[in-house]
Amino acid sequence: MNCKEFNNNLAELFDKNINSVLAAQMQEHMKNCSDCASKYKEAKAIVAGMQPVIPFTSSGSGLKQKILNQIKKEELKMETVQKEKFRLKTWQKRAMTVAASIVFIVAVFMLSNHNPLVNTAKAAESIMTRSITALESLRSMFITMEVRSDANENFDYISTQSDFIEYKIWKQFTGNEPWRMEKPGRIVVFDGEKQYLYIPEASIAYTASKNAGLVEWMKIFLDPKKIMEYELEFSQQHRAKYATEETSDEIILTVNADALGDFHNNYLKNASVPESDNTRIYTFDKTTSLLKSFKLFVNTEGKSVKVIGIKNIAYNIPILATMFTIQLPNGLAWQELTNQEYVKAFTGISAKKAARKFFKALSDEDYKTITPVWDELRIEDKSKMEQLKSFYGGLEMISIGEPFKSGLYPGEFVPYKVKLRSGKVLESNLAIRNDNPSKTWEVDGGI
Amino acid sequence: MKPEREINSNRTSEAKLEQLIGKYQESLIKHAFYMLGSVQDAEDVTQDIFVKFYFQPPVLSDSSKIKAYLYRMVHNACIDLLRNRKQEQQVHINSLINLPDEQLNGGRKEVMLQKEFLRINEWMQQIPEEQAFVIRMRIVSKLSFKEIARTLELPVTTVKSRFTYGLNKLRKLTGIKKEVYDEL
Ligand SMILES: [Zn+2]
Repeated sequence: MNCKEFNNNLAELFDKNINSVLAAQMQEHMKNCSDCASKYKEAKAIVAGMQPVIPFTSSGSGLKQKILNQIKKEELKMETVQKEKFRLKTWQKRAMTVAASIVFIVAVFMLSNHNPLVNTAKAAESIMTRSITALESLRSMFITMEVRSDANENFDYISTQSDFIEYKIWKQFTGNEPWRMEKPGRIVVFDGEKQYLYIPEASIAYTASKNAGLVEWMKIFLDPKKIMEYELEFSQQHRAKYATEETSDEIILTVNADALGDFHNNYLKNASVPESDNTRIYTFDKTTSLLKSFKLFVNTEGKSVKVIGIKNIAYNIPILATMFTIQLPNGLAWQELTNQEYVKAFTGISAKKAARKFFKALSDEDYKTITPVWDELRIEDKSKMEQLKSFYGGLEMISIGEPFKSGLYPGEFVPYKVKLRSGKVLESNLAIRNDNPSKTWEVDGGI
Repeated sequence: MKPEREINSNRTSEAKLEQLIGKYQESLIKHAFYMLGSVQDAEDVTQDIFVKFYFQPPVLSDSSKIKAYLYRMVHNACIDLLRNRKQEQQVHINSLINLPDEQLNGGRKEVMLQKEFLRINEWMQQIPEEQAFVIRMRIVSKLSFKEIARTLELPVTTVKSRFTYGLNKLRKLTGIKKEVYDEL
């Protein structure tokens, strides 16, 4: 070994596992070459000098747990983002459902005129009428209520399985009539021009139009007068059973109502509050006739479960204008929600044909055709979408059944049976609807 | 009805992740610390890398490459962090050198570690960054040249020559220092 070779291999003497043959040759060279020997000696001294002398220990503050917690948080966030994307794209449809349910009551129950409960209802109607008048001249209101819901869910998510969480509503009845609704995890504000949804945990900040259904069914609580008007109409259709009770300072009205909607097929029963058998208890102040509290019980499987309870309503209190704005943290900006596109292929055909077309496209892996009518293909997560495609793509249609309607769902359910490429057989009902101006079928769920 | 299971199948299993955390967390934090000079930042970087690893595990042909992959991720994250804080904190770190112990942030242990970082960092600042990376990985993080090569995605010969160049440069510098001292 010469000096050049020695220098080329100097690093070897500092590796983790030293090549013993090479090391021996280098030792041999150093015996005969004092230059290289001192070079090595100096290098060794420097390496020793750069060695940390105190042992490294991190703060040991449970990094593993922190990592697992962060993962949970990220997962929750992703889940919420996915859910919101689906929901927000369907806000229009949902808003239509609520509107449709009110039209439904009026249209269908107008038909039944002779009802023995008419007289009992008369007393109830007079209470409602008085309360409507009282609620007419409101300036503002602040409601605190408890709702069986989950923090990660939409405002109108109500489940008898959930615990009570607090909802708060602020409403100004003057000017542009701004309002604010809050539940743990999310806020919706209407500033008189636009609606704003903010979900801090998921860093979601969306703006939507004035009439967007960002709070969905819960919207009825923004206007107690409307609730009473709705009850009055409802009573005039003689559908519910009423009981009234008076104490020294309160009037209590109990309404027992059957589920609304078409339940020849029970598929959707209890899917949402107006679609369940329920009991509504209103308490009014005897002097002012203003609504003081409200309780909603859902009656299911022989049990009555309270799902909503208004704890307090403060009327005509001053509300700061800042309540009707949301300050976003730095780096987060409002995103506009846009309407969906439609395609001709799914327009002007029967539900069954639309379902067939949908599955045919999946079978042909022709995603272009169905992307505009299936929200799931419009998610931003490319890898997730690829997996969705590989799951359903190339499926084999076994059968498409006769469509049916259920509950208040304005679309139709089409029974289907398909075999996936993996060999797995799926059997369910595809929920599709075309209650939009262009009568284009859209896939809502069931897949 | 949705293919949840299928969708999640590309994630690392939690058990596997915990095993990797147990095996590598301390040495990765140490590596990050000797690049960043802050235990807190080092822990944060390492935490982020494991979370990222969970959601987007790399496609690795053999499991022995996981170690190199983790080091590479931590290493690159540290470089990014250093670039971002170059203006503000570099100054801060340099000014630490002359501070008495009691004015340094953190507890006694952290103070000792920070001084240790500053001492070693002084060496590293004398040589080009790419040589410093190799030397730090070999001497401080105790990776073999082969592991360093995998981490930096370089041929082993390149890694070894960077090590030798860096070491020779430091040797010469200390030589000069020594001569200067001798003359005084
Ligand atoms: Zn020699």
